[in-house]
Amino acid sequence: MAEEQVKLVEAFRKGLGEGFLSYEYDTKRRALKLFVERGALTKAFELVNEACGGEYHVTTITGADLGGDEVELTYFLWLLPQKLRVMIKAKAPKSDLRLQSLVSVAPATILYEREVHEMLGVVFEGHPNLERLFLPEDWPENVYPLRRK
Amino acid sequence: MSTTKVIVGPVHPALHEPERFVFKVDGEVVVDVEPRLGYVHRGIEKALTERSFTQGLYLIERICGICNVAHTLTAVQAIENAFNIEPPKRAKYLRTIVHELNRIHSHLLLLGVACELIGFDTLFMLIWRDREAVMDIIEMVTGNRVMSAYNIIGGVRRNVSDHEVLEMKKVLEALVEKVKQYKEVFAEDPTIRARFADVGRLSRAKALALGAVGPTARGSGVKVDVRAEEPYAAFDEVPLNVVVYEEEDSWARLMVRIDETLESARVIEECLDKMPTGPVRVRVPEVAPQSSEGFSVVEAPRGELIHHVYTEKGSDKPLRYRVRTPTYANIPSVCEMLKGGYVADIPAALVSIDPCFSCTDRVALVDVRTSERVSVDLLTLARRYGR
Repeated sequence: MAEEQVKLVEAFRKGLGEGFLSYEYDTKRRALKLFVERGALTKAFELVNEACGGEYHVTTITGADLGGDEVELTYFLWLLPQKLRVMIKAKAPKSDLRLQSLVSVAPATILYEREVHEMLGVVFEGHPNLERLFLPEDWPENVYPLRRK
Repeated sequence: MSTTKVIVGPVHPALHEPERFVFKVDGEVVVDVEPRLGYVHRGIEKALTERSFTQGLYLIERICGICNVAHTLTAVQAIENAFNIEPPKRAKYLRTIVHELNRIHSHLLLLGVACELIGFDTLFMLIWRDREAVMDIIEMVTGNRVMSAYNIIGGVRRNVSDHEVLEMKKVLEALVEKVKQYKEVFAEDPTIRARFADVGRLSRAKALALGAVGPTARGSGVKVDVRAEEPYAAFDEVPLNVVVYEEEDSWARLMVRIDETLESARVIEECLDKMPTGPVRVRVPEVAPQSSEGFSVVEAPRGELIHHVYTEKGSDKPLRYRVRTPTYANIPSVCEMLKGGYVADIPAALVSIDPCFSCTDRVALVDVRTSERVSVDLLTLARRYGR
């Protein structure tokens, strides 16, 4: 890992405390994966914002039900000044799929959160509008197409 | 204040694929915009988890016809990342060449459509005439004009001959001369300046905050280009000059595309000169060798495109497949662009992000006070108010 990555990991370790779980570095793709508690996501985005002076780009959010009891969320970020690819990962149990919405700290997440909500049933608390985005209006309630049985 | 709702779409805006926008207008000024996506939602992400990696590749190609090469390239790179495979060097160069040819044809297509939308039909026809030459070389190299099915996991499907390399250089040389002329027209022509300059403003700060990608971001002075910053395929050996315009309007976004067309032609020529000899593909396992995840980010013609795949050891199907296309990322930005602008400028601002939605061009106007509904053709709307 280069100096910039180490710095960010340290900032996460210090800033999130218990909320920071672990990290991995994909040397081939030069991508840094940071695993955090779901409650620490807002703070994590604030730390990223601080690290690059607001010059970052939210590429997307992937919500994945891999068959277990949890849904995994991956936030893909690109930090412009450091030229750094960062993936922030958090998990939420299917029994309690609630997360803090990040729209107030990162407005670019507005549509991605809506999509994850309708496809997987994750509720983003504080999101201004969690209505249907891709699915038809007559799609049944509480049926999530990308959920596994 | 009495505001009127203007519903644009779902079968409409500017080009390709349907999408609905509900505009709240006060007289001629757009006050607010609410997008509604999903009219061509085909459930591809789910369908991909029911198909083998190779079968899936043909479905992925059909996510978007215009930038099909960008999609297959991203997909094979993401799967190679998860499988831990390295394609041969010559294949990486060939991928870059076809990827850039695809960008040239896509940019020329949009520039032509933008001209047509403002009633500049002569330039539209000239640009599309020259685009045909690029379609022909795509056909020569890949065997097909549009759906090239060129990228496969582990390399590319076919090689190019020396004769084809010479032909490509000849066509590109002629094209570059033409595009340079068009650049002058776009830079100076009063009609184009009047319709696109200062229309659909998107400030640099907003572009960054709303996650704008590709020419939309670069037209607002944000220097992001995946090819330069996270080099893939042959871009680590063929450096790219990133095109950025600071004007923050529709005109700047079109100028970015013209300059990028020229830059793509330069990249292809450099690739043709530097391309090493050797095999163009390696054998790959049919099933995932490990439970893993892979992703790939590519600069598609419309901007940053990402594919993210989870694999399961011993399975020939992905566990989860995620695609985020560039137009999707640009939706919040285009809504911002339209706010505060005139109804007549809606097409000019929409077309500047090169949206991948409908080509049926229809607009419904609804007056909320009387519930009176009027349907008009977008082209009529553009022409009635735009000229």
